[in-house]
Amino acid sequence: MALGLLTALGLNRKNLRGRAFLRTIYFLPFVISAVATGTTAGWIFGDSFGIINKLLESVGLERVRWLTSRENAMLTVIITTVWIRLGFNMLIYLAGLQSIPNELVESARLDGASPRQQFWHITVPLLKPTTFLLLILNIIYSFEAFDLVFIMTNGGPGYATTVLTVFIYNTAFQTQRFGYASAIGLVFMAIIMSITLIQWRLSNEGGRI
Amino acid sequence: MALAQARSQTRPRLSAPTRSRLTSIIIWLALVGGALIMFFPLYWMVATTVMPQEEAYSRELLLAPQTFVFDNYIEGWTESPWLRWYGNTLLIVGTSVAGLTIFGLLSGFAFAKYQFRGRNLFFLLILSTLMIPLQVLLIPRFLLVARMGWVNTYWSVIGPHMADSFGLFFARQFMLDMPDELLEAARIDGASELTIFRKIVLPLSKPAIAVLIILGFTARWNAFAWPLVALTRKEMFTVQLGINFMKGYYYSDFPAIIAMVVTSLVPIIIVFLLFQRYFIQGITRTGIK
Repeated sequence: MALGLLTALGLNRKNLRGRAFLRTIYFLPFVISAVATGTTAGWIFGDSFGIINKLLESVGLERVRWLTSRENAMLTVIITTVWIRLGFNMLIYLAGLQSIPNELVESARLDGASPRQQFWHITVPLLKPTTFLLLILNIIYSFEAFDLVFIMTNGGPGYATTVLTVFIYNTAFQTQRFGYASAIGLVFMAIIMSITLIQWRLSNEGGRI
Repeated sequence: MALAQARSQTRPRLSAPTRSRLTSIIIWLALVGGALIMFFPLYWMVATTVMPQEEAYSRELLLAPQTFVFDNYIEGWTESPWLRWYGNTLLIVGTSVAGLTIFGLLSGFAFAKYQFRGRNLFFLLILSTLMIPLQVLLIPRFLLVARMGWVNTYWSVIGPHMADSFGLFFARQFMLDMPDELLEAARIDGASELTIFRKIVLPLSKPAIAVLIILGFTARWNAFAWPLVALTRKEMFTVQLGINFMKGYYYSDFPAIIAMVVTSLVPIIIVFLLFQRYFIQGITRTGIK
């Protein structure tokens, strides 16, 4: 999210060279299927032939077992998720930034506010609803992440990356325990619903998002 | 940004315009650097597929293919029934997107422009289904589809998405902005409700239709979890299931698998580049994927 905001701030500058092109690049991963991303990530983060490890080795660092060790697998999944989601966060922030009236920033500047003050006292407060919406959407997305984890690690090694949804799937369709899996599913749904309800409540208090 | 400012503040002697130029350049460089990192996996994806196997599996660091070959594509394509899988996917995607658009527009129109008993209640009910995660639906939906004898049929994948609450929601929001006077005038001129829909509402909804088709196409093309559950016979697979299948069976042959991944991305990337505007509109308007 922080990266998304930074990128959006940068891309919001009007006279930036190649702005549309850069935006396209940042957004591109978002339209690619999780299956495609996950499969490719398996190759890029490979232990012995993965390009990341080769790059690390070439600058004299140690190889990392990105996907095959319990400690790192989750981190690798998270890095990949950030790669997918960055463009989406950037886009929503861009929309938020563009809804900030120019006069506000202009008048603050005339009053002698430094760029830093402008950022902390105008941009950040006015972006609060956007930030909040993104926070909720990202939490829900993380809870629901299934495709990517299933493809990249299928919950392994061991249970290191078994997120709730993968667990539900495996319980139901691998071990055939439909009742148990449905029960977890209901609890899961209750969690998601409560997060969404909290969002509705809070966003209605602070005006519509 | 903060970094750029810190840099520029350490040089107090520079004049203000120079400093802001410098800041601009630093920000630009950071953005381009970020874009390179974002793009690298995509580049590497394509690069891998045009390398001979020895290069892909060499111990040395090679950042570009030394010799170009298309063996990986030929190998990947002939290893599995891809033609059939693409046919399945096109059929499924085409039918569900058509359904989603047609039903979305019709029901969106009704919810936006007609008064009827329980309208708000029904709308809320339909909207609340957007909150239910797909993964929770997998099991009950599977049991339902199994009872109907739909497992391993196209309908198992098409059916649940023929009418999509997102489509309804989006079409309604769009049509709310249409002036009532326009519809009223047509009614006075004796136009039937269906004529009004066809002659007035549809032409005005073109941007919304574009967004629905494009987002629907992307979502259906990329769908994985539900097809994985509903389609278990190899000849019924979609493209995404095909990649997953290949990954399971030829797990050591990454260049060929990724060649098929790249092939599967071609339609999505073309659609995205052509209609980027609509993507951005659809997403920023609703905040929903």
